[in-house]
Amino acid sequence: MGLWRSGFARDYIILAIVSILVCSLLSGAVALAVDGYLQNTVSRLAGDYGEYDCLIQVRQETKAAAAETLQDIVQKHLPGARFKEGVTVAGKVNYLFSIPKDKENEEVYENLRGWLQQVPGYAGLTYIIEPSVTAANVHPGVRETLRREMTALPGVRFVFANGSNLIAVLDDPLKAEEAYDKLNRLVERYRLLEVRFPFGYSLSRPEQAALEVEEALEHMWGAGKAKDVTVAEQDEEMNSFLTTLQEMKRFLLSYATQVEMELDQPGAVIAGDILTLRPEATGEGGGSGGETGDTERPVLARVTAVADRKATGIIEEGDVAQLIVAPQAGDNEAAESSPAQVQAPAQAAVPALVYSEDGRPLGRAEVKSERRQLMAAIDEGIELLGRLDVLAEEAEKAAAGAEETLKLFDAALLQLETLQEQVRQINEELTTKGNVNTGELLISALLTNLLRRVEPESDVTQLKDADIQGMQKQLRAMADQLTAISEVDLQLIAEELKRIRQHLPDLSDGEIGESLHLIDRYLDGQVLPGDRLQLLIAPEVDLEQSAALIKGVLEYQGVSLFTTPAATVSPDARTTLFNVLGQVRATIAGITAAALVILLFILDQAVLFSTWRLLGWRTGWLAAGAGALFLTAIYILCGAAIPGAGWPHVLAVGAILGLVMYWLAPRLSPVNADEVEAGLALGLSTAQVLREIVIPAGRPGLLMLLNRRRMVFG
Amino acid sequence: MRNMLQVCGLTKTYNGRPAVDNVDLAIQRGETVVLMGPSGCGKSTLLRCLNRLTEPDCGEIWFEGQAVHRMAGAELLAYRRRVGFVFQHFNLIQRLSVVDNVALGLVIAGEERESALAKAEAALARVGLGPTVYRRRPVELSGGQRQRVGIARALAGEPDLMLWDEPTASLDPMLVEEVLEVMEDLARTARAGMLIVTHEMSFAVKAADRLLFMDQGKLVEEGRPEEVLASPRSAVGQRYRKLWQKRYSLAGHNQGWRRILGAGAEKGGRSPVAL
Repeated sequence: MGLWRSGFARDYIILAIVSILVCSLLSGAVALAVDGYLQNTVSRLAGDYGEYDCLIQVRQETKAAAAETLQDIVQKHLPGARFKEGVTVAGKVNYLFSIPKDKENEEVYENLRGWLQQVPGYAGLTYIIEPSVTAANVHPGVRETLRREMTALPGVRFVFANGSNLIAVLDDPLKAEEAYDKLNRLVERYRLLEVRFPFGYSLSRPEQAALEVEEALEHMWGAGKAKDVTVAEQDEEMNSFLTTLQEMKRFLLSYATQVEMELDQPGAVIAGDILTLRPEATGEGGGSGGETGDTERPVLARVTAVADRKATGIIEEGDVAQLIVAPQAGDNEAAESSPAQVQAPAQAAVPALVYSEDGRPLGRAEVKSERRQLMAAIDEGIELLGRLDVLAEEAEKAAAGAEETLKLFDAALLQLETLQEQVRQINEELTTKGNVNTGELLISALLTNLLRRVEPESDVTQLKDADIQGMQKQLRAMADQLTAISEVDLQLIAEELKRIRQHLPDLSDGEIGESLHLIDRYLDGQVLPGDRLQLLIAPEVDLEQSAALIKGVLEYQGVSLFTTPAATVSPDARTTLFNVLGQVRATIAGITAAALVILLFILDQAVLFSTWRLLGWRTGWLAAGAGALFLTAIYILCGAAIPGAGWPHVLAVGAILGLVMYWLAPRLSPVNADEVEAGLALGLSTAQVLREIVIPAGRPGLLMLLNRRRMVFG
Repeated sequence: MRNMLQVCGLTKTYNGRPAVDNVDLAIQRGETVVLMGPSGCGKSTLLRCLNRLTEPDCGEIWFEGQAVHRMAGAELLAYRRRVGFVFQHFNLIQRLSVVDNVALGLVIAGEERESALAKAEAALARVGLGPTVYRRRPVELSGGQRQRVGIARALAGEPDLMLWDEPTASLDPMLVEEVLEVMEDLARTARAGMLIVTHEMSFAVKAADRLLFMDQGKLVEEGRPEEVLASPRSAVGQRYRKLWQKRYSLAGHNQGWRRILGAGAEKGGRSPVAL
């Protein structure tokens, strides 16, 4: 291309070098300025390196009292320690706290949190010990081992535990990086293998299973390459919470009012539909039957299951009391007495009419409220207990009277027997006498007839056979039972039943439905984890190769296997913060570089691209190359690093940027085609046209600045 | 006489449609050739091909024995400096003053700045522009003045060949005359060969040594203006003849027409044409 041969190549190379250098310096300067500002801010907030050891957060309103208590703690536990008030953020005052060097040990640091609990408004403690290295989220199974090994590392003064973190306090700031690397290498020796079973799967003997997996892995990878550290502490609270919620759901479901629907047509509803329930009397525009609890508010039920023409559901809004038709007139007393759900009769099922949400009649329903029936049963039980005492007393009296009667009856029977015997003797005397007169014959016949009536199956004989003694015994036993009943503290039972009645959840059906809905929504996003095994494994244990083995040992293919680091190593807070700030600086540099490249292209390159396009040169590739070159070079030189953006990305973005600029060039920097044509017609080379005509008429930029020295008519 | 410019089989197509179709053309030093034809017939394209502002697809262009069609780089630039080009839209460089516009080509060609400026001023004087306009920007000039600057710029390099691309087409009719006068003067006095694309028939009749008609990319007729206009063979020629007759009969300028022809005869020694 003539342009490059005519000396423009040199111009362009100079432009490129100058542009890249200037933009790199600018990007770097912007990033450094931001970095410096942020570092100064950090120093202002957290003091100089190593000056303070922790930040104590206290609620702002208790600041004065907190300062006094802190002073007391210093005097009592840490003489020589000092603290000063730092910044207040979101209503919390940060106290910068410094522990004297001679008091610094693991015991002090581990006790510090406990001492600070007594500070009024205490809201948290953050360690900013410098120099230090932290192994965060250390698995309990490796905590003690790691602590020992960390303590043994050269340059480590002591190690203390802070929750699940282990913080190693170092001797020398200059060795902090070395200690960080060593700790990293130490932690890399431990990986946590988690063998997780699906929800609902329960291991009968998890300890045995873990041991078997450990042995199998050791057999495969060598002794000491796996260690069972299964613990249940993680997520325990969440598990308990979710289990409680599930139980709560079960309880509420057993308590919820059930709606059993008989539909006019099969398939009229599906599970999840919301239907309207109306009292039978008023449902079909009637209102003739009487008044209902609350006809204004609808009773809505959610369908939970459908089978042909039958459907079941629960009430989601309103209450079954609204469906019960109250007595029409003259019974105001009952209507006014108490809330609907208390006064409503404990009907086994309340009939109702079912409508769709848009008012179409769908069928009939029976609304069964277990809750309501339970309340009614308790009420009746209490009433019965109240009467039972009197009943027992009266029954006792009745038993005593009956026993007395039986005694009289027994005496009467004895007298009757005696009389019978006397009659028999008189009759015998009369029949054995030789000469009897007619009168005597008549008496004898009368007595014979009388005796025949009495013996042997007469009523009197049967009365004689009655077990009067047994009856008396039974009556005495009954009296004893009734005495025992009267001795029972029926009052206490009644009181307890009343208490239960009072403490039964006072929820309407709608509230129960809504609670169930809320629990379902929460549980929807939560997974109750199943059983799991945790093993510490050596780095060389390959998960893919071990997976089949573990599944085989457990005789279950549905387990999920994954590994996580047993801990995460991070430097002290300031170093971490400065690392983050470094990333921020690098990101800002990257963004600035991109912005400057865009500016560079608008001011300088666009005019060149525009001219090339005017001359009909197909130089899109050149623009892409220029974009990639400029952005990548500036990106590297200014020390930019955008997270997730590697060199290929930067190159690609630069190339795309170049192409976009090439595409937009005629609009960004239009070139006067007539002037270019005139220049060419005058015998100017393309480079001369650019120098004398195009660039001077373009946007002011580096290109224009550099071009001035080459212009004939400047 | 040896041809200064010789064109053989020159062709240029746009999207498969020929704009210049196998054109043969020759111009001698000092000869004034006027090229006429309907708009879009390829006149400007032919002109631009001649100094390679537009690259022809095929054909040969010879300039004083040199193969222009094969030229590249410095050789092409040198050729262009020997060919003055006057544009329809003046194409002046807006940021430069009038005198710098004229001197630019000279300085770029290696002329000392002072000398170039002196030549530029001389060229400006030749087209009737005095020192009062030297330092003005093109935007401060009238259309006629701008075109005269354009002509001065083409003249300043003392070209061997001048290509004129409808120099009066963008001008207000009141200003056309002042440019035509310059053109006529140059046609009479300049030693350069000239190929002028214009619709000014009076100029063609008065100043041209030869008149060419072009239609649909082809040169369809050529000859001395009075001969071509007296008995045109091509449809384009006949249309121009009718136009010419109409314009002058309506104006009652028969005498004027003869006088014009007479003036033309002064240069080429041609006799008036009886129409």
